Amino acid sequence: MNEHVLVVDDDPLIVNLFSEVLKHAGYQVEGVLSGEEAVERLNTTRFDILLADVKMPGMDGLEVLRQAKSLDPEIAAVIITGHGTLDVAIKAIQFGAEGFVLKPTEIGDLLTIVTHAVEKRRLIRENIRLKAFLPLFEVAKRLASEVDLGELNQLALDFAIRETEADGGVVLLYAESAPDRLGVAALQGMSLGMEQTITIQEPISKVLQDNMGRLLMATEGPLSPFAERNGATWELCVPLSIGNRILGVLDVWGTQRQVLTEDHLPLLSTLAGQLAVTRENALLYRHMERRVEERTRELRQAQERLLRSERLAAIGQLGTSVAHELRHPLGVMRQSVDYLSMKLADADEKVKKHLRILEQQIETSDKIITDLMDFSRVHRPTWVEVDVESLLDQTLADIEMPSLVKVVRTRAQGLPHIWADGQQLQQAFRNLIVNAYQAMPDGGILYITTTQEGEWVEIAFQDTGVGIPPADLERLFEPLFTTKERGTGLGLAICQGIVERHQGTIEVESLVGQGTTFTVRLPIMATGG
Amino acid sequence: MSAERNILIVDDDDAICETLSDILEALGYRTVVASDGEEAVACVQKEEFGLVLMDLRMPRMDGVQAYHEIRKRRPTLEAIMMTAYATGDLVQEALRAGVREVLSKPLAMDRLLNLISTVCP
Repeated sequence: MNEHVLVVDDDPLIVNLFSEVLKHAGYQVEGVLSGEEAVERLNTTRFDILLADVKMPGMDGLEVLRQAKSLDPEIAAVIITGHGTLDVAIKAIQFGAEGFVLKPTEIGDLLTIVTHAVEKRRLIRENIRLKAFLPLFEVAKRLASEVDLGELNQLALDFAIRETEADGGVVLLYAESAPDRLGVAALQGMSLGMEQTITIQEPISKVLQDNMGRLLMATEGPLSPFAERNGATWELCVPLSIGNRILGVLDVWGTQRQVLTEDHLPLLSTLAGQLAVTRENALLYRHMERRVEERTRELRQAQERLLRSERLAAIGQLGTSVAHELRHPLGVMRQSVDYLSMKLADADEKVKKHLRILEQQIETSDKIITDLMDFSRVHRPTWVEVDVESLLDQTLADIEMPSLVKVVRTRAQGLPHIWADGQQLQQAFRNLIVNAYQAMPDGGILYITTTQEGEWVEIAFQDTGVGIPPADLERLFEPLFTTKERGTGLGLAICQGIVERHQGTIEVESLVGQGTTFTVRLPIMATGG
Repeated sequence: MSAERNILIVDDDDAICETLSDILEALGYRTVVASDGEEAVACVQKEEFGLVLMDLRMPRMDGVQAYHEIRKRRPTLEAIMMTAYATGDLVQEALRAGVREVLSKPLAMDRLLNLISTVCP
């Protein structure tokens, strides 16, 4: 154990005697002859035990005791007194003395008293150490719940600085870009930039090399340059490691000779280990969370697609059979109207008007039936190389457009061809264009813009029409949902079906009174899956 | 009236038969209505027609079968078929049997009338 004892007495005989006895008992002893000298030694060196005579010229033993305890509360102090007055005893105890040695002294008594004092000090230290670990549990709990890596580093550093009463500190992690440098991950009380990296050098290099924490005193060797720049007298550096894998160091330093003991090393080492593990967990957690998020999103999308396709299939089946059933009587009705039109060629205008109404309604019904049948025709795309631009041109040419609507085309330069079913895409485009026209009964502009976004071709159909209220926007792609008086509610569902069969996406944005934009994104290299 | 402008309409749907018959008669044709293949064959045995306008799918005897039977009795009698479910096979079969044209239902009346006017001048 070799504990370090400082003996102070103005009587050289006592100093010598005590020194010899204690040395013989295995202590490492230093003796001084005045209070002033004692304080000077205490200021520069750490002692485990102080043996001080009460009565000395100049600074007395009680003052030495007071200063010693304020420098290091853990020092064990034994007061030497020739006249054991209650007054002195009370003062000494108030100042934190662990024991008294009465002069003249039995050698056996001296050793017993010193041993007791040492034991007492050990217990106190133990107590302090345990107390010191309490906040560690607190910080560990917080570390465990904190997933922000930057916050984690700062949290651990703040704790380390508080516990060691340090003036500054830094968390340094191996720089990803340069393996011979450390990056600043958190810092306090010093002027290193957060983006900065520092060269690995002593004493930190030793800590990294041995994977063992060190408590360093300026009096015993060089400290880290950043600590020395700040006038540090001590530095405590512990590795951030998981087993043999070292991530960096946690380093704190202080300018005052103070309470720091070897006990702080295991405390900070534990903290550093905790930080390293938590950091690793946070990284894993974040990675996992991202994966889970991705998977959840994928699953949700797949589920939505499935639900939709099931719903579509059900509607398709029903739709097809209803369409077939209706198509027939409609045909007969049309024949009847044809007959009546022939027969009543000379009838008055009212009759003719009603015949026209019948004809138009039959026409509309037939269109609805065609929609339904198109919708249920969920055949897979026939993949060919398709030029989206010319497909759009063709679609526009096929549609009879109202004269009040102007079409503005903006073409991407060198838009790549995509793999797609041209016919199906044209149907989707047609539905979107017709929708846009219908949204602009008083005229307006339809902007059709193509762009390339990475591996995607994007086609935006932007109208200056009436817009869609937010509540309707959510349900827009639902089959059978319609805002039109005579819509089947299938147009956009058909669009979405087609786009999704092409592994693309369709999105809508709208502002009531300003217009609506449908954006279709199609992969350039979709495979027929 | 000559037999050329005499048209046999065959469909199991009365409404179709009646509207077609009325339209054609308004245009100056004479029409006879039958509701299935067997009835149609019987009609052909009784009188001369310039054209048979027949549904491809009917109960008991379908259009193609009926046309074969009709051809046995009137080898030059032309037919126009109508169908709501135009599967390729059935259409091919009808055309191989010598049917002039297969029209899909609902009928495009312009087209039908044009066709009739070329067969029955």
